[in-house]
Amino acid sequence: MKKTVLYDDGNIQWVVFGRDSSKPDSIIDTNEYLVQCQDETILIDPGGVEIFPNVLTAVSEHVELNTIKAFLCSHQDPDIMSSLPLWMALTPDAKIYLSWLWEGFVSHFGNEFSSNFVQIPDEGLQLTLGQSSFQLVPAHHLHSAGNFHLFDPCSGILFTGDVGAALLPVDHGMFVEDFEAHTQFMEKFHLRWMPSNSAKDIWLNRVRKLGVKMICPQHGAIFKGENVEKFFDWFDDLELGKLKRAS
Amino acid sequence: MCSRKDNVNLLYTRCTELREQVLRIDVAVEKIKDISINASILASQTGSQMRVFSELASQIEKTSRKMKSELSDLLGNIGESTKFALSAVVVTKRVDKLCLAISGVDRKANRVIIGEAIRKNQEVIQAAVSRVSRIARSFDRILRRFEDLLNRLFLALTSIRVEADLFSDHSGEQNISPLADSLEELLALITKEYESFRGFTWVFKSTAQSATARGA
Repeated sequence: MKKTVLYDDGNIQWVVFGRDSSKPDSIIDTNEYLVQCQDETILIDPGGVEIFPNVLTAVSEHVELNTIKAFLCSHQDPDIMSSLPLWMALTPDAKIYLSWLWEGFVSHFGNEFSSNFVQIPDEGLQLTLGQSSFQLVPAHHLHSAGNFHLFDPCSGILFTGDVGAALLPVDHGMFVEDFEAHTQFMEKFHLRWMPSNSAKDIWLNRVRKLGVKMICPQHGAIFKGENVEKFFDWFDDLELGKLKRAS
Repeated sequence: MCSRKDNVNLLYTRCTELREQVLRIDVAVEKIKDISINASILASQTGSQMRVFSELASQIEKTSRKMKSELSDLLGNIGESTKFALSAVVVTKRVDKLCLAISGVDRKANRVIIGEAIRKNQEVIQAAVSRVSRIARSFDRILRRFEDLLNRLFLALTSIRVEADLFSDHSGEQNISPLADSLEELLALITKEYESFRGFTWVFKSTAQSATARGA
């Protein structure tokens, strides 16, 4: 698995793991993000059960497992968090942040760790890790009915789950280089998965005010610099919630 | 360490096969119970002339009732065992993933944490496999009941043939021949089920032992 350090100021470090060349083609590629603050770590969207050995190996090279204090599950999909029972076997005291909406559903993966859940209310939450504070930003219906992104005010990194996701070849770089060329990998995904223009407008209105410097989706490539605004504009122009009739 | 997967999967398969076997035996025993009731009625119509057969038919009915009850208990236990076997299959998959990961982990502290998680999960598998293996304890009792039933069926068949011959002028005699044929068919069926079940118990015990030994 490819590891890229996205940000490191000596206090907070962001690392992304992705582009798993050893996974079967039938499994969609995912990005797993690790944020370390002093001696505490959060794993964001820890991934599916099939790629767990690779993610665990990659994470283990970077941090001591006993520093993992929390997991964020942006939503309930299997590629996001079906590995949770395995992670909880290693970190039984870690908290699991997820939308209140999904707790009863996610418990089907393993009820033994239901006491570790921290239900995120619809309006979001401040999450503290080490000495640092992060915002859990509501992103409901993008695409899941109970969906959260994470914003780090220190680094300006916004983790966006499936928003900004692209289906790319495994040898593609971790960052978007040519935005216009990149849209071909995102457009169909967003048109199919994102159901609501009004949800998109609410989200854009919220995140444009945050001072985002980097957009980190769960699939595909990361947006930084001018590509952040370009993405917001592109997404703003995208007409969601319309199904084309099959001809 | 992770090679027990096949054995645990096989144990789950054996549980489902065992259920199929027992359901088949249950159907055969139900037929025996029905025919023994008919035989008792028929024997009573012949007065005191077919005493031996009448007595045997009554014993067969009692034995088949007891066996039905034991099979019902066994089916309940098989249901429980299947759940335990399935949980062992699920946890074995977890252990496999952890084993895959530990081979690539260099940090000693992380290897210790993963190793401990593997050990705990293996204990869960071990407990589940032991629980499944316990079901084999009831096999001998079922086999003995089977043998008892087979003996009585054989004796009843012999008796009906002899007594029917002795009292061939009796008015009920015309009904005895089809009954004897039915008993003969059932004896063949139940003998086949007995042999199949006896062979399967060995296979089941062997699978359970392998699954237990692998996890030790």
